[in-house]
Parts: sequence; structure tokens; C-alpha cells
Amino acid sequence: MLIDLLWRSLLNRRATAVLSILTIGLSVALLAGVEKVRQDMREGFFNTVSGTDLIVGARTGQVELLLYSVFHLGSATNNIRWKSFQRVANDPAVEWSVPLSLGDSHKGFRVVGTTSAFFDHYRYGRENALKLSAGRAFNGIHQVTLGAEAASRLGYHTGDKVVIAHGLGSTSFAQHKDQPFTVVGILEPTGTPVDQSLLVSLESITAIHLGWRAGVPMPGLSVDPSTLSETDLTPKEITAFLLGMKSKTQVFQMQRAINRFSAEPLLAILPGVALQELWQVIGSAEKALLAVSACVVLAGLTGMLGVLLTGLQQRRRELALLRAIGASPFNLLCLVVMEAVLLTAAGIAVGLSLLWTLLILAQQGLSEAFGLYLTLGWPDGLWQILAMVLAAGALAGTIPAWQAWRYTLADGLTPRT
Amino acid sequence: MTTSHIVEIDQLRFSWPDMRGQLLNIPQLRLEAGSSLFLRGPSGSGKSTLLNLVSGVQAGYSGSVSICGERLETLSAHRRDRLRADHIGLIFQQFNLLPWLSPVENVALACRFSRRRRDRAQARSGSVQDEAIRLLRELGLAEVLNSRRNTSALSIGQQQRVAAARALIGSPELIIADEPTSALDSEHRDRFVDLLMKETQANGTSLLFVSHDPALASHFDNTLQLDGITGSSLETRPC
Repeated sequence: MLIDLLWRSLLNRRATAVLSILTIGLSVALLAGVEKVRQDMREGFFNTVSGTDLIVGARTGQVELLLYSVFHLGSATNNIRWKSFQRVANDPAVEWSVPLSLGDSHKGFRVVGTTSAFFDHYRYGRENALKLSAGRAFNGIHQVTLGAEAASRLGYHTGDKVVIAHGLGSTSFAQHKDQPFTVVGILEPTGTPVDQSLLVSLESITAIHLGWRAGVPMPGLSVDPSTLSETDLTPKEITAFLLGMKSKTQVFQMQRAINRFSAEPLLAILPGVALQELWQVIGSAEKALLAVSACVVLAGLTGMLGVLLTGLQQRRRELALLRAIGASPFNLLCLVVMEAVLLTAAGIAVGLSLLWTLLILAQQGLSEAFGLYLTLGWPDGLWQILAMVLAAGALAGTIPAWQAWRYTLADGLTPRT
Repeated sequence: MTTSHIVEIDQLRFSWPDMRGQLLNIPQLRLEAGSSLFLRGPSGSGKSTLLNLVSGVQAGYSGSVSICGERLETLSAHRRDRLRADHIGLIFQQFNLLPWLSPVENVALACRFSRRRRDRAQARSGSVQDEAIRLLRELGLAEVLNSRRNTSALSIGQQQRVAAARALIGSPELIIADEPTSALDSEHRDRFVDLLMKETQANGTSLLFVSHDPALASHFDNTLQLDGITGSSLETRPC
């Protein structure tokens, strides 16, 4: 019954009220924003490879295999034989397989040798397939399809010539100058390491290494590119491969079979399990981020508390008057707590509108500049966080309310101001 | 206990915890329905304290204070708040009004905390709003209604009359006026007291009027002189 009185009173003090709402709004926007980025990053991370049942490479640790095969971090200690790959890929339980050959680069971007199966079966996010924004997928040697970021950072367009360097790092001296590649297509951004990749066929990788021994071109062994079409370019080795099984129930069986592979030591990992293990290492940063934003909300609520307490001194007369007319101290206590709740709720509303407006505006820019893919969806657990903010706001309101209670009891009918 | 007495005080003694002697010592005081009492005394003589006691805001006294037959010391704080809302209209020296409400809303405010006064106002004019307008007209504030003026733009004399209308709405049994005229010049002061007397008499409302201005005493049925810590002398003088 006092809510309209409260409303009129707040309207009368709208400058300070708006200030509190903005303070809370900004801190809520920051908190919800951090939570959003955190969850989308986590989501993006866990969905770097989706739809892949097993990743197979030379025997090493599962995190290492994940890092070099999917995230293109570090390098493989050993390659695996093409024959081994073929034996696994031809197993009747295997639905599809994507071989990966890593080890070359172009101006700091990794070159990934693979087959067209990569475009058909690689999935990221919620089962998203790769899409081309320009051109087409490679379908022959000396053709390259660029990841979105590699294309935009290097300023390449379809038809441009690219020279691939041997080894990793942006200043490699050994260049495959004799066999330049042509850009035939550019992929849409995915938010995965694919964006920073140059995708070529396995045959191209074999071709550029013809006549090379131990990472350097041998004098007198250089090949004439025109004779390549007659050469057998089947690779002898690859770095790793992705597997999709016909049935999920066969995944563990296949994993065990690969891990016991007799011809050479292989390791098959479940992407989800390896990602989980890796996230435990890098995931503590997200908790720190959340703690910082919680502190920001605390600062926002403290700001509101300050505004409420100063306002209360000014409102002492108003409260004494309401008491004289018949309001009980409890009524007035409710009034002040209600005000805090109202301001906090308005702050939350402002904060959320602010955040989502920013999300809509910045979504594109963030994905292009930082490869950060933010969705517009509602983060899990945000309702609980907002309920906690509201409760904290009500709790903060009890301090001036208690003060108001004391004032009204001490002042009686005539405020001593 | 008869209910024809609106205020009944017996053996009232009150002192602040760190005080020597009694601030208030009133053996007996009766205020009948429709009568008026002028309460006088220098500052610090306990006038405000007596008003706080009578309106049920201040506890911690000995003796007995009854309003409309209800002994305040037997009631909970909440019941005393209800009693005040239902039976007492208050007018202060200044800052009587909420500046962010219109004059009519300020008058109607008194009915928000009391169903009894709301019902009475409705019974009289049909709605609380109409009763507030009627009272404001009665008190010579028709121009305030017409111009829809902001409360904070009113003169002090007008503000005090709006406060009087708020005290009168819903016909409470008792009106307590705490130095309501001290911010007014003498011409406005007499006009205000005349108006207040006229309205309370027309409604059969009792009036407890506090002032340090002895010139006003002649308007009232009785006078009570408070002298502060030395003890109060009760001097009731029939008019």
C-alpha cells in the first residue's frame, strides 16, 4: 500500500535514484558479461571438436595429442604410418576418418594437410559444419583453403599465391618456393583453431617435400613440378587422425583396440575427456574472473548503500511525518528496504539491457578481432546470480532501514535535524 | 472508564534516564469530547514530550494515559500506532507536508493508515479525494485546488491550512497541534486559530494546542502551564 508513495518519493529524488540504478546496472552488466564470456569461452573450448569420437596419434600423453592435433600447439614427437591409418580407417565399425598432417607453416599460421573428408566431417560448436565464405574446398595439389583469420590477417583473397615454409614459426628459412600454392577458398569464422589454419591436401604435403631429406632440400634432388602428376603422392606418414564411429557403443572398443595396436604404438583419446583434463589446467583463470566481477557488484551495492544512507538523512522529516500520520516503524522499515530492492531490481534490468545491447552490437567485432564467439543465449545459472544480487541489495537496504527505525523511534513526532 | 473523555491522564510522571527530578508530573488531566486545551510553557518544559506521550510515540512513563478510553501503557507499539492513525490528527510547526505530493494527496494521506478515517471521509463526501477537496475549500484554499499548485510552492500559511485539513479528514476525536502558528505572522496566526477552532467545534473534535504564545490562550476552554523540571503546575481555567 506504500508502493505508490515510495514511487512518488523516488521520483522526487530521481537524480540520485538514477545514479544508484546506473551504478548497480553497470556492475550487473559486468558480472553477467563476465559470466557470459566465461560460459561461451568454455562452450567454445569444449566444442572445438564436436562430433569426433576418437583422436588418434603416436603414443604420448592425451593432453599433448589434443594440443598438437586440435589446437595446433606444440608438435608431435612421432608420426604414424599411413598403413596404420588405413588399417584403422578400413575397420567396418568406422564411419569416417580424417587424416591430419602437420609440420609446415605460412607466416606463423599452421598448414594442415588433410583430405576433403575434413570439410565433410569436422564439426565445431553445436554440430556446426565448416562453411565457405568464398571459393571452394581444395581438390588438387597446390591448392589451399584458408581459415577465416588467416585470410583476414594476411589479407589474402582467392587466386592469391602462397609460399609455404618448412617447419613452424613465422621466420622459417626453408621455404617451399618452387611449389607455390593458389588460394581457392576461404572458410567462415568458427572460433576454433581452424580459423588460423591453411588447409591443403595430403598429396600437396607429399609433393612439396619431394627431394627433401631431414628438413632441408637436397641439392640435385629437386623435382620438376610438371612431372608431379605422374608421381605417386600417397603419403607415407601422417601426424594424427580423427575418427567417427558408426555406433557410439563401439567407441570404447575401438579405443582399446587402437591402444593395443601391435604394428606401432598408437594412442586413441576421447576428445571430451582430454578437453576436460586440459580445462582443469587453464580453467582456474575463469574462477578468478568471476571473483573479480563479484567484487564489482559488491562495489556497486556499496555505492547504492551510500546513496541510500545520505538520502535517508534528507528524508528524516518525511519518515517522522509518515510516522505521525500513523505509519509504524515497521512500515517505514519496509519502505526503505523496498526502495533498496526496487533500485537493485531496476539496476539489474538496466544492466541486462545494457549487456545484451552491447552483445548485439559487438558480437561481430569480437569474433573478428579476438575470435571470441559470444552467443545471445541466456547463460546457465545467471538467474541464481541475479537472485543473489537482489538479495544482497535487500540486505544492503536493511542497514539504512535499521537507521530509519532508530531515527523514527528517537525522533518521535518531531525530527531533530 | 467513560469514553466521553478523549484524553485522560492520571498520576503521569516522566523523566529522561539521566535526568534529576521529573520533566512531567501531571496528577490528573481530562480533555472532554469537543473541548480545547491550551498547553503552554517555555522550551524544555516537556511540551513535546507530553505530545509524544499522548500520541503514543513515547513510552517509559509511570501513571496512566488514555486516549478514547484505551490505556496506552497496556497497548503494544503497533496498537498505539493504529490508535494514533485512527483517533489523532497532528499539526506541526512546519514541514507538515510531503512536497512531492499534491495538496489534495497530502490531505488524503491521513486516510491511508486508518480504515476508520477512510470510511468516515467516504461516508461524508463519497470519496477520500472529495472530502479532502471539501476540507481544503472550507479552509479557504479553493485557489490552491484550482491552480493545481505544487505543494512546495504554497505559502507557509497555506501549508499550515493544508496540514489542518489533513488533521481534520476522517473526523478523528483529537487534534494535536504543536506550535502550528509560530511560523505565521500575527494576522495569519489569528485567522488560522479561528479556522481551526471553528472546524473542530463543528465536528465535535477535541483540540490539544501547544504554544509558547500566551496571546492565544483566550481562544481555548482550558489552559495548562508546564514549567519543566521543577514540576508542572496544573492550572485549568474554565473559559
